[in-house]
Amino acid sequence: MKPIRILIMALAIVGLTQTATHAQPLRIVIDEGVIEPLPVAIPTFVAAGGEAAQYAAEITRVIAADLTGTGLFREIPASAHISSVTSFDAPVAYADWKAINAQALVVGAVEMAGGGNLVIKFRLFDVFSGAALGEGLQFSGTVEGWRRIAHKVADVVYSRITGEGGYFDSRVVFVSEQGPKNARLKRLALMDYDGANVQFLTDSDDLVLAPRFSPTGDRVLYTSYETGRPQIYVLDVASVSRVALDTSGGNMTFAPRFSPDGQSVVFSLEQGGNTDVYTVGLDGSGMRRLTDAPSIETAPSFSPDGSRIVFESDRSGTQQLYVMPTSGGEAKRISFGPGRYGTPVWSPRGDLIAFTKQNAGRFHIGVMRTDGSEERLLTASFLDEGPTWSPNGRVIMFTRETQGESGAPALYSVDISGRNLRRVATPSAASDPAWGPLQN
Amino acid sequence: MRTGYIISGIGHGLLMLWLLFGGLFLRGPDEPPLRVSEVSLISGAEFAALNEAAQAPRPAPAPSPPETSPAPPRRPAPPAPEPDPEPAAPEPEPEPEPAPPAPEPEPEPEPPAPAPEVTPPAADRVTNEVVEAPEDPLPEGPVLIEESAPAEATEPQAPVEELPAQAPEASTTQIVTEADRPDAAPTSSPRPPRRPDRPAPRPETVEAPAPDPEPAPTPEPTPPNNAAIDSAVNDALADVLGEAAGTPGPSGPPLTSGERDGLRVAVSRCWNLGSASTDALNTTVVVLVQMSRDGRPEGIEMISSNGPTQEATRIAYEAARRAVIRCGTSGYGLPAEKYDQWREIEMTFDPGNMRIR
Repeated sequence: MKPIRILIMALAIVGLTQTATHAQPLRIVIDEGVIEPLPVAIPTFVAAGGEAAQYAAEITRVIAADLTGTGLFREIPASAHISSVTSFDAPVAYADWKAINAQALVVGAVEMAGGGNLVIKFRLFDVFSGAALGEGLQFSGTVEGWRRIAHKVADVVYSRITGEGGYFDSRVVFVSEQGPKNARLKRLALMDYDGANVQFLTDSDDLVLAPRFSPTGDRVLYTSYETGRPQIYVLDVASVSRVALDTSGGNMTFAPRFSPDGQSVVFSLEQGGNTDVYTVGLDGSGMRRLTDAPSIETAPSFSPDGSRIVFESDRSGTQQLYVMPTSGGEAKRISFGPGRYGTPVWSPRGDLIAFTKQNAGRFHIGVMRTDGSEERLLTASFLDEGPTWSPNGRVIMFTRETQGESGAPALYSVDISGRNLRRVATPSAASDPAWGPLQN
Repeated sequence: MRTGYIISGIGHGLLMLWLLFGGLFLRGPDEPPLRVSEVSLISGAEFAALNEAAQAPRPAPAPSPPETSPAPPRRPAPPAPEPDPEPAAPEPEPEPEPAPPAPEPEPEPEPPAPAPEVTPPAADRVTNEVVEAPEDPLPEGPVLIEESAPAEATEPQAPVEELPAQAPEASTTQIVTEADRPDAAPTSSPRPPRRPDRPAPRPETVEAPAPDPEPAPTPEPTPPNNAAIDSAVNDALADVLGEAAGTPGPSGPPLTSGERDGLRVAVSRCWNLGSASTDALNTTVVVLVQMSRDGRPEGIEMISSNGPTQEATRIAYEAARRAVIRCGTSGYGLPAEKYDQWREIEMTFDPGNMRIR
């Protein structure tokens, strides 16, 4: 009996011990949420003085437009605000912002400084956590540059909430088009990412195509027909002066793009009816042929680390995408879906390649992994082409042309999720956008 | 004989008729409608623990809740929001109009008694962030210069007493996250006190089997070390029971699947990844939420994550934290009698189904 008794007691002890150690929290797994814009409150920045008030209202409006334009944020209109912010340093009435479901709050102030300068300071708050998101920041600049200051504030807000870099303080170079469809006048133009501050870089005497920003944003490559055949030029944005890219010979050159270090150019050269991909230094030195095939190889684009180049080729019989080392050599085909693929552009993040796809009479802008997997088509229309990436790799801008005699090209942007497709405001018809880097 | 048969036949006949039709006239009260409810299977140990908890005097509620200012009258709620519809197809669409203001979706039943909330300290509600140091001046175009904020921006802020009426609704500001106050995090779990030492004479009785002057006249010889075995077993049991009683482990019946689903759905409704980076959409975070007895989150901390970058982990955690706080403002409606089961909740936020594909 004794062993049995001890055994029973031992089992009881083990059982009780296990019961005692089961003091674990309740566990649940949440694998479904919602995807909707984050409600954000941006009360008009506090102004110190009458002149500052005008800028405060405008700056607040631009910040709100930047954020809501991403499709990731929804501004809670001022008419719904319970609290008003009258002082930049006043404690935040979190309860009032919670009551209107504001999940982020931007509070700022604008004041005039000496010498015609503006000073803008702001803070960002996570309302439901009752804490600031990051530290306060202050920008100062000329009154003429108030839009840039607003873009910079929006970039910081965007970055702190999403965890991605911003793209609002950036510019886009594009081809501005005017006139009837059969006699279009084309000029190179520069604008803020949102279509503001348009400046023309060339006159409309000659046909220009395919502008491309340098990695630092101070130069632009483009193709001009002023000599009667396509020729690549390098334009200095600050001085609006240009020089022809020395490609050693009188061949047609086009589709240029800067290397990530900005010191060389990869482009297409047509010689004897055959088009291949070449690279050359900005000063014309070190020109090398990277492909050597009887087919048409064009539209090259570097990977951000400069190790590979993606381009389009019809060597398989249809236009497809290929990736090869920067030094040339064997290229690997990465597109295999139905239809034709072209104008590939490597994402600044390096993880995706954007492209134009033509299939079943429709054009698409799409993205795929750099190995060709996970292809996703983001748009579909009569004619979509020429994607370009935002500096943070989150948004793609492209050209969309409408059908018919009155059809005209326009610039559109779309989130890489396929959401938030919207037209970019331009003063006239526009095509061939190239997104520049964030400005310093 | 025949008379007996007749009487018997009539009697049985009447009995059968009564059985067949008697119910028509003697219908009893209507049976209660069938009710179906979920049950949970619990172990014997859990049942015993439940009974024990039910019989034991409940610990008195908080003697006197800390001073809480009366809830301010609710402000008139603005009109309901209209969520921005996502474009069904990637076709151009006009600019979405700004949605109307957004009130709290939940009905907000005010608890009859003031909740034992602690008014958040003043520093929680005041921004005392300094402004970043200047960076490189912008060379071209509009000259933008990032520079330090004026000194007044970094000085201690005005005391919160100026806004006493804001505190009650801002109950979630008292949530102390690990990120916000790393120093306040406990460094070790509280341990139950040691069981008091046993009286000294007991070992003597164990150690003195034979020379007992007055041995009990038992018919069968009791093993001399039985008492020692009993004592050792009792000691072990007492130790284990002592630990079990001191461990703040769940007692009582577990949550039903419906209750768990209700909690999961409630949090899911507020888990918004619409503004999360693509990296954050690839990040799973596990958070531990401390709950108050009224079903509101009291504290939240991240206990693990698998984000590709630190920034992605931060964004994923903030989205999870917002979800827990937002939808828990009015409490999650969890059964109070099972508080021990949900006083701590480990929530895994896995965005695997929401990634950009």
